[in-house]
Amino acid sequence: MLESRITTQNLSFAYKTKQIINNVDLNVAAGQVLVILGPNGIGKSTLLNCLSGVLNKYQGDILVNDQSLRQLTIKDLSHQVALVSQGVNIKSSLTLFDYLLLGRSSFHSIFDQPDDHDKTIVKQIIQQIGLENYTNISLQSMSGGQRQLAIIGRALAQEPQILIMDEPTSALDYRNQTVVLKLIKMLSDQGISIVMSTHDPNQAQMVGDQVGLLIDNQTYKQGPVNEILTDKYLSKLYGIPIISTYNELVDRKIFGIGMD
Amino acid sequence: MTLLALIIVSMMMGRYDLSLSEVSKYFIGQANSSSKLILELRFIRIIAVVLVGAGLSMAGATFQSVFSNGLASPNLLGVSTGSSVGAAIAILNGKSIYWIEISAFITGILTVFLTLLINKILRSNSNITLILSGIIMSGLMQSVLGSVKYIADPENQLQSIVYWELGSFMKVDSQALISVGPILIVGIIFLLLTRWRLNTLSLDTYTIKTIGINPTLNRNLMILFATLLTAASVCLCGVVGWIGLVVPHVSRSLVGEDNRYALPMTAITGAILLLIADTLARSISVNDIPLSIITGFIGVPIFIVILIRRRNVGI
Repeated sequence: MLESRITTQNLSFAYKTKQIINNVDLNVAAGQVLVILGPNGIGKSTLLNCLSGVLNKYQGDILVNDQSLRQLTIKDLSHQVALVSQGVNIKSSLTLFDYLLLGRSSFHSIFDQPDDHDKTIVKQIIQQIGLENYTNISLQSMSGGQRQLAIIGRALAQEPQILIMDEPTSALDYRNQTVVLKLIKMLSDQGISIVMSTHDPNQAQMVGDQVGLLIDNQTYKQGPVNEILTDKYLSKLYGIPIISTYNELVDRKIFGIGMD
Repeated sequence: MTLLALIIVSMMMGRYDLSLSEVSKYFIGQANSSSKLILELRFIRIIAVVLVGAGLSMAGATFQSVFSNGLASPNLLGVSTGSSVGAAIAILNGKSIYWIEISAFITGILTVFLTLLINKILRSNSNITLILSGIIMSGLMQSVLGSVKYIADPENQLQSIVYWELGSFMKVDSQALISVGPILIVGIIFLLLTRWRLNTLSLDTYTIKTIGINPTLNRNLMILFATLLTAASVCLCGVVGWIGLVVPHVSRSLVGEDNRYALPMTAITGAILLLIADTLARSISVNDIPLSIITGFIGVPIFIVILIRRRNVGI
């Protein structure tokens, strides 16, 4: 049994009187990828925002490396958990290098400047995300896919053990989706645990170890990919017929929408 | 270097032009008594101008980063008018320069707070709404200032208050510089030291938090010091327009968006630009011309150019 990195116990969250998520018990082990699936507006982002410490008025408990998230300072949490938000609306006009450096902020006091160690780490990450040629390019003049990689890079600069990714591929074309998914696979091989949400069950099939379904505001179901990613569960999840076929060329199931 | 050369040139210029040798004699303590007197006054004034130019521009750059809004400036957020209300009330009550300073700071902070409150009530994240809130508060503060002027004794109080409205360094003396200068220096040093953090604060609130930085605490600290700089500037020379808005843009177009380089550049550019403006203000006519008239003539064309250059990127 792998050591668990992030666990929730009866996690619930309500906006005013509206219950968004209810009694979620999720569990992610070291180096595992948990893919969260669910229809629009079901609370995927809310769940991820709770896990990353952005929303803190939740009920139940979140354990990060067996420590309650409530007892961690913002700074300590940022060294364990990093959030990758959707990159479409990012406004920063810093260069890629300066933007990634921001991930190092909490390692320093307010009066400090980034040091050589920070710069070395950022250079390594830029290589890892494959944007060496864009080091000094402003984020504003990058493509959507590059910006998404930049956000992942900034999160990695925090040297986290857990990455929380809110629909990291939703604004990207097929090619860029693949780039990001490959990066996710590589990071999990390095031992980083990942919780990501997506609208595409095929992505869960490709990179997921575990799949979590937010079926309605009352039910959360998590399990290994083979058990959860079935036509029956997915059809129920989205309320439409979903049919999978096995593709020998890619050696995995491909999910399609069945229309009458 | 440019700044130092400009200080020397500015020392030479004025209603009585002096030669370079007389200026250099002053600095080694050998000037004759009449030119010494003039240079002493000019030197005090130039130091004040340099500090205010740097301070106001840095305040503008800080507001622009903290609110991720290229239109934010001490004037457009209402801070300048707010501070001048405090200063005017203190003058009305015949208080010392220290009380004028404290009073300007309190009403300055109060104005920022109310501007942000209005922005929150309007529930919009648009850059224009924040500026609208600033204009609303600025309008309110103008009315308060108008009332204070109405009550003021027309013989001398009113004059001092009117002097505040368009900005001038005419009345800056050694006492004013000694009491307000250190506050400007502290504010400038604080913002220079925290300039990397300012980059982080230009991100959205959620992201700042997950990076491990307390967004509210850090932003408020920056707003506090930017307001302190604005209030101190208002105490020395009244409301000077355009500097806080335009200079940060000019600096960023020179050295890029990273505040680690843009903020020091802003300080120097601001000092240079205000020094040019003030030297013109005291040289081109017999009477001192109010500063905002000159900064307006310089600032408006620059701002239009910036807007045109940025229209594709969005401001």
